[in-house]
Amino acid sequence: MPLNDLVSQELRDKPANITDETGRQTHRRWDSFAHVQLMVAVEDQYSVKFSNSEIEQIQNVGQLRALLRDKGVVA
Amino acid sequence: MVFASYAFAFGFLPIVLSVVLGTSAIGHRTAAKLLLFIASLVFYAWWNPPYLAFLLAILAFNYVIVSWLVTTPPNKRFRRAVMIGGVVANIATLLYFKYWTFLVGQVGAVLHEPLEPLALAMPLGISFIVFQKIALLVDAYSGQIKRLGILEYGLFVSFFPQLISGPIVHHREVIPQFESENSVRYSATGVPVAIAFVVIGAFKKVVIADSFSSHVAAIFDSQSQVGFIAAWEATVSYTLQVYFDFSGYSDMAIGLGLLFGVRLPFNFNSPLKATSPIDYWGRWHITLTRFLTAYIYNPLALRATRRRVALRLPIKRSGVMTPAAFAALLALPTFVTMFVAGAWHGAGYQFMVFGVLHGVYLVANHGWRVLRTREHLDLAPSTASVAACRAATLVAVILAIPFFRAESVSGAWSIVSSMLGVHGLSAGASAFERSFVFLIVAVFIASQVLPNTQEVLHDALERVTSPLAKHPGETSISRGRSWPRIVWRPTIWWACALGAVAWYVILHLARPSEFLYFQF
Repeated sequence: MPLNDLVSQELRDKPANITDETGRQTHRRWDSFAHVQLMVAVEDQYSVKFSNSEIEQIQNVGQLRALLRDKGVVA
Repeated sequence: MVFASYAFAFGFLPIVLSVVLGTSAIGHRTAAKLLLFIASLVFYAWWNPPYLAFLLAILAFNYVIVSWLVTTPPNKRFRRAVMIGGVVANIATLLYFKYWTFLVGQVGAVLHEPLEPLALAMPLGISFIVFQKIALLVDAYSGQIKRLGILEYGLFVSFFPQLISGPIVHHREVIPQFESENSVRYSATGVPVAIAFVVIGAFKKVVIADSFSSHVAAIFDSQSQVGFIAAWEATVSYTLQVYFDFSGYSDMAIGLGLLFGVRLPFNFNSPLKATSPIDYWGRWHITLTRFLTAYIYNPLALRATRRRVALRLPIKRSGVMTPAAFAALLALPTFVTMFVAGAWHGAGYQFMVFGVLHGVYLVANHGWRVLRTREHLDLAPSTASVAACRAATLVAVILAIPFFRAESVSGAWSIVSSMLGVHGLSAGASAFERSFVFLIVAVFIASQVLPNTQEVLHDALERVTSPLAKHPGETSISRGRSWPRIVWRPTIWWACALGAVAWYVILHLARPSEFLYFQF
């Protein structure tokens, strides 16, 4: 599943509304709880594991995509 | 030494500024940083010189451990044990100084035998100092810190604007600034912005917050029962006092940091305008919320969520979270986090109740979101619904405040029950003179309609600090959402207005009082 679709599913929003700038500061449903749920959903979907500090530092979809790229996943 | 005092404003600060920035200007930046470090130690020792031994001990202990963690490879044996040992030692220090008297007293009460704990003087700002060190140890262990210069480390932990009451800065946002060429250097464009922060912060503390203290104390410290009106007056007064006191302190800290070319993170974003408890904790004491989320809530929630995913237990059904998942993945981590948040503020059951009460608010808020999803009630917010949410949040926050201020749970409950009308709606008229009630109303309206300091000064701050100093999560603060939109500019009119405010503040410095958060 493409990353934007996964994010839209977790945030219950239309995929068209999800961009690389969608993030904790810009999406009203992306709270601390949704953040953890989203990170674990991404881990499960792409078979990767994030450290606590990586999870803490991710602020938006663009950063999440870049982190996945660093781990060898194109999402 | 408090920021809002003659000794600081006309003694310590001008001397330190001229010596440190002067040394830097003649090309000795390392010496300037060393002088700033020494000045910060003097600032800490001012209250009670023996405290300095505590600060130096905790500073040296953590430097040794962090340096070892930074320089050893991730697969080295005992690495995890050393990190845990360091964290435990820091927590033990906090427990010993802050909670020992309370814990011994409770054990004595259980045994029906009064025990005499050692009379311990709590070092100032211990909760802030310890939390910062825990973050440093955990991040050094996880490989986030690549190198650690002793001078930058010393400045990061002791930098006097944030030493006693935060903002709780993260090494990631401060150490690179001290390493850059822009810090500890005079900036002609930065100084006016810094002074604006300091003057506005001082006004909030000295003129607004301190006006409430004696009236609040008269109600909360009296043993007699108060009526409905008096209880609300006193509690709303304390809500305003603690907000203007701590946000005033934070504004001053940001301004003082900026005088030395260091941008500290924002700590408040008009929390009394929050539209939900979740929103409130994103606006109140932001750097504490950030710490608790990163180092307590996230690890707990992550562990529980990963475990549930690994066991293939359901988290959602038809896109809606199951009750079991809600309890395990959200409610429990939230209660634990908020319990720590409450207890962090002081040794006493009332602080724990305060934390758990906010935990209930947050869980109810998340539960409401789940319910809205299930019932497809996700409607676009209207002006009326936003106003209703804001009012409900404010009432919930104010009802929890007595547990934050009273000396005991029973004292807090007495005030809360009066606020709920248990002691009669008409019992006791206004506790305060009419002019003071007008002050409460005026300050309350100001807190609801005026833009906050960050909204006024954010654009200017962006212009005078490097992108390096920008803190994650500050984007939403910058927008001038409040009406009227007031934006500071380097004009003669702003200079005259802030000069007049500064003069008024200086006249009131003769009655110095400590910041409320110093006790934490």
